Amino acid sequence: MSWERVRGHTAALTTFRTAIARGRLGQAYLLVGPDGIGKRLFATELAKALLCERPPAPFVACDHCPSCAQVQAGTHPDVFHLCTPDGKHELPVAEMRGFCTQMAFKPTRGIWKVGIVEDADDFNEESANCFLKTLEEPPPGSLLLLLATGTDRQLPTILSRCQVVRFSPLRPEEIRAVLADQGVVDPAQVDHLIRLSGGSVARALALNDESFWKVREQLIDGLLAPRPNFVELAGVWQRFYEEAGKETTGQRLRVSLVIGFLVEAIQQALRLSLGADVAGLNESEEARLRAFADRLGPDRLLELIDRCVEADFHVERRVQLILVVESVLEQFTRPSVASR
Amino acid sequence: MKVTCQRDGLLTACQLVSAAVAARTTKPILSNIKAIAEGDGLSLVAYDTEVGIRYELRGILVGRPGSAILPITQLTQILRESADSDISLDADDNGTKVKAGTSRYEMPGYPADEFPDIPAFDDGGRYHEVTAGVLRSMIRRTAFAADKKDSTRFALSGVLWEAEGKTARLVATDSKRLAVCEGPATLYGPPEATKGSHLVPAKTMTLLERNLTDDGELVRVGLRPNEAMFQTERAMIYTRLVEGRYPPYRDIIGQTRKQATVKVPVPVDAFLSRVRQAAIMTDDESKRVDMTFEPGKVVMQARGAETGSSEVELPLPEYDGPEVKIAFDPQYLIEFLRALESEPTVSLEMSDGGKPALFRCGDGYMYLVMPLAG
Repeated sequence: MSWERVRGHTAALTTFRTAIARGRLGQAYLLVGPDGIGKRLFATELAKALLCERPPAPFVACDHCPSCAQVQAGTHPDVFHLCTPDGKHELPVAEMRGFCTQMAFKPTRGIWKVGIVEDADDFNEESANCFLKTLEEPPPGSLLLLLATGTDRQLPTILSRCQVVRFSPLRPEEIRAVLADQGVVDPAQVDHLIRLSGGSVARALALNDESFWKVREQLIDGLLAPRPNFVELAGVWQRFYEEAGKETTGQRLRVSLVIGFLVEAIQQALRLSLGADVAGLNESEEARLRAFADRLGPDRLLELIDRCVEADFHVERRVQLILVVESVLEQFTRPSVASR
Repeated sequence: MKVTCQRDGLLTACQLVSAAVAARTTKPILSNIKAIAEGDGLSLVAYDTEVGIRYELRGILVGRPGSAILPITQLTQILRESADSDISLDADDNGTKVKAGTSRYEMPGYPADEFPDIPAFDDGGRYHEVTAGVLRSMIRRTAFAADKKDSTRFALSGVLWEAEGKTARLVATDSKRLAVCEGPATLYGPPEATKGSHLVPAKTMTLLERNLTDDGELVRVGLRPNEAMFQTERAMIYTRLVEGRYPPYRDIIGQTRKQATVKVPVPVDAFLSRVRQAAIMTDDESKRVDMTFEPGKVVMQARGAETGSSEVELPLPEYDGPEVKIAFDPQYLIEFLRALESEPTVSLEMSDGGKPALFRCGDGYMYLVMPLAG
């Protein structure tokens, strides 16, 4: 049944279940957690459970009635969505006004109406302020669900009006289950995907792509070589993220994934240089990594990891991607501190 | 569902319901209509999740009852271009097939369950009837005063709809002016137990007004706690209502009338033309016309920093009261005076330049405007 589709997040579910059972459901919740772990799915299932016409048990959706179908399709008249429009980085205030006006309608089917703000990270000051009035005193029967990746981007005025519900990254077995649903079953592949996904299904699925592994091969080969070819590698990386289309969200995800496997490779090199075992490497890979580690030394490797993490932060903060790419590659191609 | 029907009738129906098809939506299914075939009827439903229209066609040959989503734009074009008198539709979740004479069309479909349905008119034993002519004039006299700006007082963006005794009443305000219009209505059923307010979105009012064609036609109005329905001869308009508390408009009007010390009969057409003349010299900075009422005349003055100044006089032979200085936003007066249509005079009641002024037209129509300070 419906909640079974949501993997993990039992704590969040318990929070809402208890609140409903006690009749103390709040008016606004900020669902916080990394991208791609099922917050939107959770919000949709929550809306379905509240609005279902024939719930088989309290707070469980039947998944068959027209109401469930409409929530799933996004056409239910009592569920309102607010997303950042395509090609925009911020949530424009006009969209926010429209959303608040819709929230001011009376519910048509039951006593609830659910507003799902899918991109609460993208509030600008204007739209956040425009939201405050509705957020503080929503019309009766409203439930506002704000989906965000962190609390640090929210204005204190928004935070103080919401109950924060934290969503943690999915556990390996949960990601394994989701991947199995999607038809990815090859154990070695799945293990690798899980390791690189950081608990995010969206990342794991994006990684499950032939072209990605090809690029990985090329970049790792190039970067571990004694004299990396800066221009060529930058070209490979740039072509890879540009293939994601014009949408910067997709491009950013791809750059971030590449940074992810770079960090993984450096970590492996670091472990090898410290004498630790690294599972799942063949001989030639191991030799190559060991040579790389010996050449740079542990301090330099640590510094590289720092730079990569920093670059990942810049990607998220929408720094121009080519600059991020070049800054990372530049670190690899620069002679190490010791030899300078 | 599978139906065969007359092309003309279906075309009219499609054109009529298309007014409520969502114009700008991220959900493709909402830019279609839903068709439900049962018995000998075909209902077409358009709903943009705020306001919807439901139209019933009768005398249809239903081959297989059921419901389906129809692409309204293409369907209307087919119906318009086709010359055949009969047309048959075979539609389900997978797609729509249209047959007109020897032409065939196939279009993709949507799951019918994903389209939010709207109920058929159900008076629930309590409704009222108003003639279309009266209703149209009531809408024209009030809807313009509703709050069109994006304020946070959402209740004011709607028009308050009330029915009691033998009257229906529409009220609209944006907190700077207030329009109240009453009209004769016939009420059926017991009075409402709970005193909930029925705030109809402005968009619905426009749609409703456009659907009133024949003055004599009776419109059945059903007000329910969360929704309202309007049954005209041609179609049923369904709307959700706006949440919120409405200002106590009766008190405001009562107080204004009690305080009023001056009563001026105003000729509508001449007053409108003078206000517009004076307003020529207003600009975005100074949207005000200062009026001085004195025995026998009113003098209107406006001034703009860059535009210049104007002074316009209107003789008021019937006025012999004290001098009153009051300033208005000319737009508020112009919108009201235009909505009056063919009324020769209105009476203006006021006390001084700091208190609201009330225009009254007969017993049924009142319009209150806040004066501008200073």
